[in-house]
Amino acid sequence: MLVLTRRVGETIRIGDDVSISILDVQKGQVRVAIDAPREIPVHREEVYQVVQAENRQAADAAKAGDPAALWKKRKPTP
Amino acid sequence: MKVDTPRWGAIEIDPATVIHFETGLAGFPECSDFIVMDHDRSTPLKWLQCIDTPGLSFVIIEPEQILASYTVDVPEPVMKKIGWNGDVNPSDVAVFVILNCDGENLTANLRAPVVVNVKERRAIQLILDDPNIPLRHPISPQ
Repeated sequence: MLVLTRRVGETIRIGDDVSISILDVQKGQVRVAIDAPREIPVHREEVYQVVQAENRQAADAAKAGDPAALWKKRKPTP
Repeated sequence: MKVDTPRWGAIEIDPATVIHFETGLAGFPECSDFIVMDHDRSTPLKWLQCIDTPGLSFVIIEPEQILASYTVDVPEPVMKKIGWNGDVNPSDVAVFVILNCDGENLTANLRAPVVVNVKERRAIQLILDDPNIPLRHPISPQ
């Protein structure tokens, strides 16, 4: 892993078309600007992680469960 | 082509119905080709069945079946990624949400819907930025 130190206003470039600029550092928070091609999805890591975990659990639930039985037991939405 | 699935046994698949995920689903980047099958006539549930990994499937549903007010704003770059340029005919778009079971409760992941370009059979799982959209919207409150 590469570890770099950057100051506010400086940028990191990844490959030809991704750049990450440091906009501001305050009270333990860093504001960054990410410039990437449209086809590269950019997410906060924790958001991606929870969706990943939810997908995995949903796949496991689909293996074993009887979703139709649960569907039929649901209360009608008001 | 035939795919041997744990739940349904060997099923015959028409290659023309296969949906290609451009970047896989989060957590399953290596699984890109799926089909959508109805569960049965008694429920609106469907299955997103993987073709490359037949052991992988998801229970999905059209969100209007559970929440009439649900809408998805698909960003333009995402639309381009699954083959749309310019105007999109609503009949060419299918949106599904993935269901999960939390014990006896069915929940729907409204935060990361699957958007399908029906015409070109290309799809993507969108991850919405709004933290107020639930990962587990309850379908069957006890």
